[in-house]
Order: sequence, then structure tokens, then C-alpha cells
Amino acid sequence: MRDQDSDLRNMLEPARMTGGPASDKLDAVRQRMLEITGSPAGHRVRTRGAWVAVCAVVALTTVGLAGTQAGRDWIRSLFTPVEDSHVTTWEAPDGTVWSQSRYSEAYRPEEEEAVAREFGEIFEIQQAGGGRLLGLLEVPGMFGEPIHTIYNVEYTLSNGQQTSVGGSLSPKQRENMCVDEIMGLRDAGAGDIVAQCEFPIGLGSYTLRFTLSDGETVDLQTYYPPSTRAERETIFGETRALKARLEFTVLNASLLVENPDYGVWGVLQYTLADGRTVGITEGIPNEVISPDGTLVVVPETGERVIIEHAASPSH
Amino acid sequence: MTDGQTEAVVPGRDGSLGLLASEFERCYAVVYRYLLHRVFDPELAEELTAETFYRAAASIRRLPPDARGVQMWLLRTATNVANSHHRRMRLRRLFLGRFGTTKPTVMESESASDSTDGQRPARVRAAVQALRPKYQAVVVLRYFAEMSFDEIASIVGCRPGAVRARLSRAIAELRERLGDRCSVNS
Repeated sequence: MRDQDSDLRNMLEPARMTGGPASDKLDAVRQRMLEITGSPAGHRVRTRGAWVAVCAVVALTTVGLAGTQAGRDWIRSLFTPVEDSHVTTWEAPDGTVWSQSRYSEAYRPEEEEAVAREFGEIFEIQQAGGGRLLGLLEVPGMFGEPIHTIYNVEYTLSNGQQTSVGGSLSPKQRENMCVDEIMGLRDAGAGDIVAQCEFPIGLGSYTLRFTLSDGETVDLQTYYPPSTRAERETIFGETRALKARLEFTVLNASLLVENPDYGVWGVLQYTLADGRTVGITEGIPNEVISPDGTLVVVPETGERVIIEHAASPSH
Repeated sequence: MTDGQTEAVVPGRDGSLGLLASEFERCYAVVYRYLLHRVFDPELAEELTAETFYRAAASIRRLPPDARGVQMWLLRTATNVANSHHRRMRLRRLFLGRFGTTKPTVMESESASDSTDGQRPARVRAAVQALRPKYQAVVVLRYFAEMSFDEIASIVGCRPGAVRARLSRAIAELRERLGDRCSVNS
């Protein structure tokens, strides 16, 4: 064992970090522990993974939706849902706002320029009808629309790199990718499941195979199994009704510090009448926010979730 | 810690509560140092340490009755918290890879490009981060937290012999990732 310890010392000593916890953090933790131990309902510790993942999804839904300054502000805020995420945005010639986020450090100016160049190239490919359709992301519409569909498209850049971007499609892409025919099949409930896996917060991930009229097959990833459009609208209608009755579980909650007027956002998980669960990132009703704005308290279950504070955008 | 702060942590429902209060600062420092070397990021370590103690507060009635037991319980929970963090990171990379454009993390880019001795700390940290969580836990507990094999076994939930085996594999992986440069001269 001495040899092992010696090996470890030789290899790991350069990585040693010094310094202790910040005293103000200690005080904050003490205070929070008091709240938790004093809570008759107890405290449910939630991880942020699902929140991060779903925020990424919802953030992508906004690509193509935002043509207004308010929309852009909203996107910039939503794209930084947790403390350690950073975002850079680029406005396309058609007025849509594209964004890329990461979690390690803020984008440097030269990195932002590189992202902008990449987005510019993708935009040109998009307008020319290029790219390969990989998947569909269907979420409740935000502006009166029952369902909003985001198309995930893979692009090959001039340097040979492949990248995928979620958003809307150009008219030429819709034509080249036979999207109208695919969506017709999808909305009619067609599509064979060729792969599936459980995904966080109760959403399943499915790969569906569609057979087009010319005999070609297209495999697309979705987050809902084969179903008609009416069935999916029913799901989202049911989640809206459950939300109105405050019948949901809160997986995470976050206040957007830079724009508190947007309220508290989080991942709400609903249990449908048939037992299925659906997770959606959306605004959390004010009725379940504690008076001091620090906790979400779900009346029916007594569930208490701490509201995290989201960071301001990186630029 | 003042008496007032002790009261602020724990209202004193039973012995475990008072114990956690009296051991709070010492245990907090131990857990923080452990998590700091699991993630090599002071701010993230603070966050994960806080989460560990929130879990302790939520499970206050199940804490062991002695100081050593409380510390072991906290390190066990911290290990779970750190493992969950690494799993989430991996999931997030997979997810963003499917539905967005992503860039490599700092650690990954450092690992790929560092070539001078001045960058060795970052390179070693990247190598530790690249270990599977169960190996990473054993390595950090053994070297940075200076725990015995029995203690590590209790924390990670396996036999001491399995800890030794994991440590051996982890060292082999680290050696492979770091090459000769970092296994000598330090």
C-alpha cells in the first residue's frame, strides 16, 4: 500500500488546492438548515440536472420565436438558468436570435466571434435548404399555440465539423426534408418505435421511423411516443389544467435575478390521469411562492423547494 | 461558533441535532476539502457542500449519535452528491450534443492541449475528473482526505479489498492519462 500512496503523491500533489469555505456561505447554510429542520414537511433536496437539461430544451424553443426586444431579453435570461451557465447570442439576418450556452466559463470575445461566424454559416446552409433532420421537440406553445415544434437539424460546416441546432426550418428545408409529409404522418399517429429510453423528469426519448410515400424511411428522435396531434394537445391541455389546480411536483425553481419580473421558473412534473408523468419547464404560479420569495410550497403535498437565483447573462 | 449560531443551526430535538451543531464548522471544512478535490472548483465545491448539509438537515433524525459517525455520514452523502454531479454533467453533455451546439469544458480542453509543467495542475485535475466517479471517490478520499481503507470502504459502501482494487485501477488510469511526466519529479 505504501507504493500506492507513493504513486498517488507523485501524481496528485500538483493538483492539491488550498483554501477553505467562505464564512458567509457557512452562515447562509446554517440559516437554510434552520429552515429545513424547522419545516414540518421536511425538505426535498432536488438536483439541478433535470432543470439544466430541460432549460436547454426550452431555450431552444425560443429560437425563431423572438423578434421583439422583450423576447430577446426573455431568451437571454432563460438561457442562463443556473449559476454556472453562460450564453452567447447572435441575431440572424431574419431577426431571429440564436444562442449557444456552456457551463464552464464566460465566453471570451474571440469565442463569441467564432460562434457568430459558425451561426452565420449555418444560417446560410439553412436558407439554401441544407442540413439533415434529426429530431422533433414538441412543447406546449407559449403564445396561444397548442403545440410548438422545434426541429433538430444536423449541419456539416465548411471545416468538416458536424453540429446540430434546434429551431425552425426555412421553406427550402421543409421541402427538401419532406417535413410536411413527415408531420402529416406524425400527427396521424404513425411512426414505429425503433429505440427508446427513459429520460429525466418522466419524459421518454423515442426514435421513431416514418415511411414516406416514395418508400424512403426517416428516423427521428422525439420525446413523446407515436400519437396523434390531438392526443399531444390533450396532454398539454391536461398539464395546463393540473397547473391551474396546483397539482404538480416542483423539481426545481429559479428566480431570474436580472429580470425578476419574469417570475420564478422551474421544472414542473405532472401526473396525467392515465398515470404517465410529464415534465415541463415553465413559470411557477405565484400562489405557491412563499411570501418572502425564497421557497416554493406546494399546498397539496407540503413540498418545499428552495428557489435558486439564476445568474445574469454573461454579457 | 457562538452559542447563538449553534441554536440557529439546530433547534435541539435530540442528540444528533446538537451533535451536528457542535461539529458543524469542523465537518463543513472536512466535507468542503473533500468536494473541492472532487470537482476542483471552489464555488461548485461550496454549492455541493451546502447540498450535503441540507441533506443532513433533512435527515436529521437518522444521523449517527457520535461525532465520528456524523462525519462519515456526511462524507458518504458528499460522495453521493459528487457522483450525482458528475453523472449530471455527463448527461448534460450527451443532451446538449443531441439538441444544441456545445463546446468542450475547460477541463477537457486543458487535458487535450496542456504541454508545459506550468500547466501540470490543470492537467492532473483533468485526469482526476476523467476518472469514473467510483474511482475518483477512492482516490480523493485516500490522498486528499487521508482516510484509511476501512474508512473509505464505509463511505463508498464496499469492502476494504474492493477499495484497494479500485485504487489500483485508478492509479493505472491516471498513469496512463498523465504519462511519465507527472509520475516523476513531484
